[in-house]
Amino acid sequence: MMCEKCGMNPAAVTLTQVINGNKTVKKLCAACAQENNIYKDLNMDLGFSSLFSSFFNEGERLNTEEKCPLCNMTKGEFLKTGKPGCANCYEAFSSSMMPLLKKIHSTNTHTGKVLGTSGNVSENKIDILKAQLKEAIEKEEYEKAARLRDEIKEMEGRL
Amino acid sequence: MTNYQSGRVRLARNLKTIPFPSRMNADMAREVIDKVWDALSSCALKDTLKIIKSEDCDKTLLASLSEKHLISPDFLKGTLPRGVIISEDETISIMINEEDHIRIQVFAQGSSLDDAYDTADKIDNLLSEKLDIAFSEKFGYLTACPTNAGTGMRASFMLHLPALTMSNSISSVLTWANKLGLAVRGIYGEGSKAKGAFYQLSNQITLGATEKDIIQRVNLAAEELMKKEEMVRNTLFENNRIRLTDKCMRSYGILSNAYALSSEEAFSLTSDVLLGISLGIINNITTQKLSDTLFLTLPSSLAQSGKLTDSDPVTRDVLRAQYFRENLNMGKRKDD
Repeated sequence: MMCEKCGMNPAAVTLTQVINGNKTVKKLCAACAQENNIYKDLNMDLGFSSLFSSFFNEGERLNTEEKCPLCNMTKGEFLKTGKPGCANCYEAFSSSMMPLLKKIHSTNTHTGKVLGTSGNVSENKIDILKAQLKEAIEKEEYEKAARLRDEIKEMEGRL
Repeated sequence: MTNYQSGRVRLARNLKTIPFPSRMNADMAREVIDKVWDALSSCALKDTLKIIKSEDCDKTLLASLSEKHLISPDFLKGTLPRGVIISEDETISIMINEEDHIRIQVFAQGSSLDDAYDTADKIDNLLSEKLDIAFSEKFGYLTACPTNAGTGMRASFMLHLPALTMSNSISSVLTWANKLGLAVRGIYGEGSKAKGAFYQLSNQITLGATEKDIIQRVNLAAEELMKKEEMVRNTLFENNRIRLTDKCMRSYGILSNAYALSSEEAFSLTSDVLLGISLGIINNITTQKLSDTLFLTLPSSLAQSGKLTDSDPVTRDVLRAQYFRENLNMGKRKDD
């Protein structure tokens, strides 16, 4: 038997609908059945929206009433989804955010581009150290200058 | 964009003082749209950019932008006012109020993501000059989902891997990519079910690595995958010359003669014909022409074409087949 809707493919699904007490039965091919969305009921919520919640330890589940002052999200809400409500939540819930980031990325420290500069974290640190070195030399603090020089050398070696 | 190997770099950014889209209201959303558009108003790029706001435009226009990957499928969902800023040549798109306030996307022109990243970085700098972007020294750029925090960057390639798919090697590709901190998933399909062996390769980790490192890793992995694909392709062809030729020619036959084609069928047949072109079996159509045809026949491109008399899927399938017949047979006549 061919699909009753498109008439082009063999019927694979029987669609029974009861609307206002009227029962209709249709034989449809898989493609038309999908368009009729009869599989819709199978779209169960598997709770993936709260996937991250399983990442938190019991110890992190304290003070769930604490609120982020910017967006009013509570720590409890954050722990449920693992998704912050605003940028400030990262700071407000940092004790839970740090281990979460570590679980996702295997680290919780940014090493990439730094806002307002063209370089990444280590390049920026080197710039800061170089400025400190210049200052130390000007002030004739040679011991400090030597320490800074070694630190810069080591960081440049790692780049 | 529909080229079988195309790359993209995306940066996620947010404003410091406004809640993320998941927690903001319509007024805040409009404020973000205006702020971002204003921030670009004095830049040199401005004349090549246009903004499309979800509140002022037609749903089918947005759907066709989604099929061109200029906006994401998630952008179409939800009721929050959204906007997208697109460059004339469609290589840049800036989504506003998707998961994050700002998502800068730049499409790569060649087989490397370096230039695309440079462009994205420049746009990011322009926006950072005018806007208060959320950044922490420790966590980097702060994003709506912690999986994007740090660089906020997703670097990806769209790859066509028919031989790796046919030889059941995709699962080992997934494992290999995973070990490199990369992910491979099917595109133009629900979840991971790939339609016609088209895949997306991208970085999984956004924190703890520099942008340069990530770009380099994705570049190298794409190159390596294409090399492996070619190797398997050639071996498959050497060992199964007749069967593979037959498969490609049959698909070409159906694609150039069918009277009705579903979108799924078009993907899988196009995939076979692309394979045939690369193996030199089929030479009366170019990869570009075929990719363009596939793109023209995506559901919302058809809806946008103005040639659909009704919204019935069968009408759509007939029109799709007509496009393929016209484009595939046109090449044939030229060569004959």
